[in-house]
Parts: sequence; structure tokens; C-alpha cells
Amino acid sequence: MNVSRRAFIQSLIAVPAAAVITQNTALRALMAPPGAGTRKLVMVDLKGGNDGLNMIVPFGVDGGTYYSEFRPTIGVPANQVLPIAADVGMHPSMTALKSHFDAGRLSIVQGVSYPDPSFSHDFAQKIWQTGDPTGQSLEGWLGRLLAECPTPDSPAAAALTSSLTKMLEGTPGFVPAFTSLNNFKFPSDKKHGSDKSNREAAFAAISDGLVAEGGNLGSMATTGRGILDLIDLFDTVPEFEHIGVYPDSSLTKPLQLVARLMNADIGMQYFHVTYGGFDHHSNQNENDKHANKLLAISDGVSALYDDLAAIGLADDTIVVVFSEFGRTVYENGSAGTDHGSTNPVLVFGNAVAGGLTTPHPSMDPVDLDDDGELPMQADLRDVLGTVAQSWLSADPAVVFPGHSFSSLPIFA
Amino acid sequence: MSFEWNEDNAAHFLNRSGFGASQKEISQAVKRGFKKSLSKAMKPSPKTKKLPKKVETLQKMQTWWIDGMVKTKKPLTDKITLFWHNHFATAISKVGKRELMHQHVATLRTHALGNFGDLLYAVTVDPAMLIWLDNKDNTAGGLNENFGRELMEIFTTGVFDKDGNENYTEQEVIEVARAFTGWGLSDNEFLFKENKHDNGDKTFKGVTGNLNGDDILDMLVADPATQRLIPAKLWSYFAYPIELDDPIVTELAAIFANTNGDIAAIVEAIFSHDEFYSEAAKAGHVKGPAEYIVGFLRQLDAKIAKGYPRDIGELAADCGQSLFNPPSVFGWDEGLAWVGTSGLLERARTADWIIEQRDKKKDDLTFKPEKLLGKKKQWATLDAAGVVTSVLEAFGQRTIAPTTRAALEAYVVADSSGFPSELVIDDDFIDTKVRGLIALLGVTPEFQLA
Repeated sequence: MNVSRRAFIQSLIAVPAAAVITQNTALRALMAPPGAGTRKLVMVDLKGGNDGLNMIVPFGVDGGTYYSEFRPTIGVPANQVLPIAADVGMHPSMTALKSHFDAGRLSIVQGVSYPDPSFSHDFAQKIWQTGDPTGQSLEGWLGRLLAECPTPDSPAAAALTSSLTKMLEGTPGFVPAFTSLNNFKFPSDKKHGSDKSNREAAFAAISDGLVAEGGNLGSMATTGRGILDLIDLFDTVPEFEHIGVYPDSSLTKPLQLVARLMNADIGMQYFHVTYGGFDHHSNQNENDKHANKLLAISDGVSALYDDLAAIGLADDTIVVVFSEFGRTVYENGSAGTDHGSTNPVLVFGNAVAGGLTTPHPSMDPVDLDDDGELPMQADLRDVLGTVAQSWLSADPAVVFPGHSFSSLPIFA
Repeated sequence: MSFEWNEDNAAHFLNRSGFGASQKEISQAVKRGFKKSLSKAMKPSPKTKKLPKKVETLQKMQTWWIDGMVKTKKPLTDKITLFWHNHFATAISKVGKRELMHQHVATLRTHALGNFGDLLYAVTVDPAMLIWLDNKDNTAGGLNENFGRELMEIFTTGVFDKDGNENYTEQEVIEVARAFTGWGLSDNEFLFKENKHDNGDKTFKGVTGNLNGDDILDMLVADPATQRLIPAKLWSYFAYPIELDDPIVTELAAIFANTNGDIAAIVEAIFSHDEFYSEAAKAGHVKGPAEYIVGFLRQLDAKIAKGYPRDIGELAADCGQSLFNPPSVFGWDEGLAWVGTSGLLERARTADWIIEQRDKKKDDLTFKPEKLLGKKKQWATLDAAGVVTSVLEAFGQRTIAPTTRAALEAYVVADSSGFPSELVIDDDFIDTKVRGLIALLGVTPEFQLA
């Protein structure tokens, strides 16, 4: 961008000068959350309700018969699981994460839920993203955490999705939501290249002229200014040669983008990644539908680890894999499962303690609740609160107001 | 009613009941008066054209719908069909067949301004819906809850009522699913399979008996929660986002109850409401991608090339609205979610794509940028402000911030080095600056609000 041209148009209309991006990483480090420093967090959000009982399989829990009785058609046979305890194993497609588990890099929190769980995708997603079981909070839990930190000079958090996610609502400053760096440029008329900078300067002036407005106009203007700053920022992001071998899956693109952005060291530390298509009401094993998604998670997250290890960031990064709810303990009449609640959460990285953080909930039908759900072993606010406290040095009481926090042994 | 029927209000009415009104349409509507304008807009267009044979991809089918919306003289039916497409969000990603998605949207259109109960029944037995929410596999002894749950959560009552109480229990989800057992498919047509239906007693909303799906639909249409949720969603779509306990929703819910769910009556009441003409309403709606593109092309008086070029359908998809293919049963997030980082950048790209269409033979669109400047003999009198005014008027863009206007005026005279130059309206100016101005207008915050 030619600064003098932008300056010219702006001087004509007397709007505030555009925010200047500083590339000063030392300054940015100072502005990071207290104690968190350069620590990074990748939240992998499985949309639609992942069938956790076929991911972390309780093949032998409570005498070993309940699981196969509940799921005669779709259950994973005991002799196929990858055992991680005497009575629990991982889905056979998850060999990559199984080796990380064996190496102590994967903590599995079993039986995660919250009081009076919702069976609605929409509402349950709200609850997981806000960390508020009433679903009323306007801010996301990560947004509340970042609101405690000084606003950085360029975005520290990003949703690698097509629109902003609830989890990051409440984050001060501009929070970008994007799915690709390709073609992240302000468009111009190819026939009149010489007019390109005029168009861009005018768009900058239009955005800057309205950022102070409230409501929809101000919000769009902030986004407009944010886009222009990102274009400049992304110009500094080099290509990245992936060391990790990623699977063929829609989760791969955002995970590779995480690796590339971390490698670029532009101050982005917190990422919300989503992976959809888990709402398997029918034929969930047909064409290995669910198995392939679990493979994509296992191989994808593992490939991200290899990338980060290669650039020296494996110690600085935690990946959390969660879903808005688990699925019914019993399979339904269409070789699928309906909406459930209690579900495992995976916390992955060099910094974790590893192992099964909580025991698997009882599978005995007498222990199931009125809705036929597994008893809760850990509150989602304690899981995310432990990540907030132990990994990001935040106060769980601020991030999850009103919750009586108790820490879980997720980290080493 | 106490709102004044002036150009501002007529423009607002036309933009919300249709797509992107031009100045000419606005002047005509003012002359016609409110009542005649309303009754003209309310005339439904319930028939759906057959899908042409050459529409052999999803992208072309999307272009086919957009082309229809650009050409229609009765835009309200399309506008509200888009609303129902988001309310009953059903996607080709799972349904698979284009023919079934065409049939699905045709069903929405047939009842778009009709009776809500009729619409709900038609959607329930629509083949695409039976596939989408698995009810084709819902049988006695092989229960599938998917349709039963979303029928209540999304299509009728919602999870919570206006006071925050739950509208149904988990047990009722199961009871409703049982009532719809056997509502299946045969050769892609609805078939009630008596031998797959659970004839046992079910208890729903305090009623116990051998309830069938029809009974459940009737009870849900009569439910006060439904009678609030549907009008609240309609108001949120046409005016601005509203809460279930708002007094306006109470007014509209009474119309729902009194007319037994006459959608047209509710929509008419919205367009006749003083609050519909408030500043909050005028600034309260962000155009969706289809609305954005259709309005843009209508205001440009652009013609889409024959053969339903795939790129036009893809523009809307790139902007976040892949028609016939919503991301989930929850449909698309609306409002500011349309214009986040990616959404706004895609609109900038879409606007640029449009103004780069020049070649009548090769390109997908044709339009005449010089027409936006009015009569040629008056061009000599236009300064930068005059050029901007002409383009804004041609677009019917009535609201523009002084800072935005100033930036557009500075752009018009900025030369290739970025310095002000003398304004000469010639072919080069039209090809560079008028096209550029259109592209810029298309990405202003003001233009995203309709």
C-alpha cells in the first residue's frame, strides 16, 4: 500500500489516521496475558455431537458387557480397540494419538458434562463456548479470559471459521475469522491496475470514518479496517513447508493454517478450529463414516504436533478437542445414535500429565440418569478452567464466574 | 398507523419486501401510495418453474434461482422463500439429489405466504426433509429422534418459551418421534407405512392416546410458543432482531392465533407497523449474500448470460450462502455474522467481480455503467459530488455517512498517483471510475444494510 496516496485521501476528509501495525514482537510479548507469555492454545471443536463412546471405548467397564449390549450393531469390537487401560481403549483408527498417549502427551478427561445438560446442538454449543450452563452469557469463555489481558496491537486470537465464534466474543479489539490466507487481498480491477491503490485507500477512509459509530455500521467498519491491517500483516507470513503428514480431511486446512501462522510469529496465539459433520443419527459406520472422522482428528492433530516440534513450538502449544455433546448410550433403530451429553475431552501437548485424568463413568444402567445419560465425572468449567489456570495463568473465578472451581490433574 | 409515506419509507419498504429498489421504483411507490404498494407487494407467486435440463450442477441450480430472483416482478415470494429455506434448513449435502432440493424449495414457495400449518405439513412429508432428518428410517422398534427433536426445537416451539421455561421434555421428544414412525419414503415419494407405525399410546402436552404425526403437527401449530416464535422470526428477518417477550411479538402472535397461522396476514402487519419504519428497523438488517447479489444486479439493471453461468451461484456461496445447501439444520447465522472478516472481504471480491464483467460475448453479466450517470448531455455539468450523487441515486442508496461520501468523491478524482485531477467524463473515466465507484459502494458498511 502506498502510504502517501492513502494519506492524501485521508487528509481530504479529515478522518483519524489508520492504526499502524507494529511488528514488534517484544512489545507484543509484554502485552500477552499475565504469565501466559507466548503460550498457545488450539481449540478443536467437533460440531454436531461426536460419539465419544466410540472414540474412547469403554469395552470392559463394569464387567465388560454393557457397552456391547447397548451397541450391538455399531459398537467397536473389544478385540479391535487400542487399549489404554484394562477396560477402556481408543478407536482403532486413532493409532497416531494412541502413540502420543503412550508417550504421555495426551490427557483424556472422561465423562465431561455440566448440570442439566442440553440436547440441542445450538444451545449446547453456546454452553461449551461460553462456559455458562445457562447459555445466557454474551461472552465466550476465551473472550472473558482475553478481556483480562491488555489489548494487543494486532489480533492474538482468531477463529479459523467463516464467521466469528461465540468462544471469542468479548475479546477486546478486532478478532478475525478467516479460513485461508490465499487471495487474502483487497480486490482490484485487473484492467485498471493503476487505480488499485485509490480503491484501497478509499475503502480505508470509509472504514476509518465509521469505526467510532455504534451498531452495525461501526462493527462493519471495524471489520473493514481489520481486513486492511490483516492484508498487511499476512503479507509478512511466509509459506510453510509442512513436516507433518496430514490426512485428506476438511480439518487439515485449518490445522495447517495454525502451523503456518504460528511459524510466522505474528502474535496469534489462540485459535478456534471447527470440524463438522458428527451428527450421525443413522448408519454411522457406513463407509467408515465416523471412523474416518476420528482418523482425521488423530492424524491431523498428530501432524500439527510434528510441524510444531519442527519449529520448536511443541512445548508452547496445547490442543483441546471437544464436542457440544456425546451421543445416546444406546444405538438407535437406524444404526446411528441420537443426542446425548456426557463425553470425553482430549487435552494434547508436551505440557500435559498424560493418561486418563478421570475414570470412565459407570456403564451400569442403574447409574444412568433420567434421560439415560452417563453420570458426569468432570464439569466442563473445571476442564476449561484448568486449561485457563494452569496453561494460561488466568483466574478461573473470572473466566467462569459463579462456578466453584476445582482443578483437575490434566497438566504435569 | 402514523408513519409518513415518503421516499425514505417507501425505499425501506421496497428493500425489505423485495431486493434492492431503484430510485425509479421508489418514486413510483410514493406516487402509488402505501396501501396500493402493499397490496401489490403481497401478491404471491407460488409456482416454481421446472428445472431446465442444462442445469446439471449445484452451482448452476444456484444461478438459476438467483436469475429468477433478479428477474421476478413479485420479489416478496422469493424473499420469504429464502426465509423458509433458512427456517427449515435442508441441504443437498445429505439429500444428494438436485431434483429433490428443487422440489423442496418449490414446496416452500407454494406455501411461503400461505398457512403455516399447511407449510409445516408439506415440509414434514417432503422427500428431501424425510432424508435430511432421517425420518424415512424412523420405525416402530427402530426409533430415530432426529426429526421429532428438530420439529420442536427449530421448526415450531423452540427450546424455551418467552419466560425461559422449556417447551418440551426429553420424554416428549421420544413420544413425538414415535408418532412419526412409518412416515417414510417409497421411490422418493412420501408413503405412510402402516406396518412401521407405532400404534401404542403416546403422551404429548398432557394428551394421551394413539397420537399420529398429524395430531402432533396440529398441537404444535396451536402451541402458544410456536405462535410467538414464528412471528418473532419473521419480524427479526424483515425488521430487526427481537426477543420473544417483546410487545410487538405479542401483537403478531395474536394475529397468528386469530388467523390460524396466516403467514401473509403476519407479514402485512409487519409492513404496516409504525415500528417497521423506525430508525432501529432501517439500520437493523444486514443483507444476506443472496439478497446482496440479487439487489446489486437489479439496481445495476444487469442481465445474466444464458445457460445459468456457475460463477454467479458461486458468488453467493463464497459470501457464505450456498443456496440449496445450508451448513446444518440450524441454517445460516444471520445479521453481522454475514459480514465478518471473510464475509466482508468476499463481498469486496463479489463487487469487483461484477464490475469486471465487460465482454458481452464471453462474460457472465452485462450492464451499462454509463447509465448510472443519467443523460449524457448533462455529464458536462457533473463534478465529483455530482458523479457520486448520480451513482448513489441510481442504486437507491439513501443513507450514506458524510465521511463515506467524502471518500467516494476523493476517489472519483484521484489520478493514478493518488492526486486530485480534473474530472473529465469520457469512456476511460466510465470504465475506470464509475465501475470502481460501484465496486466501492458495494463494500461500504451502508450498502450492507438494506
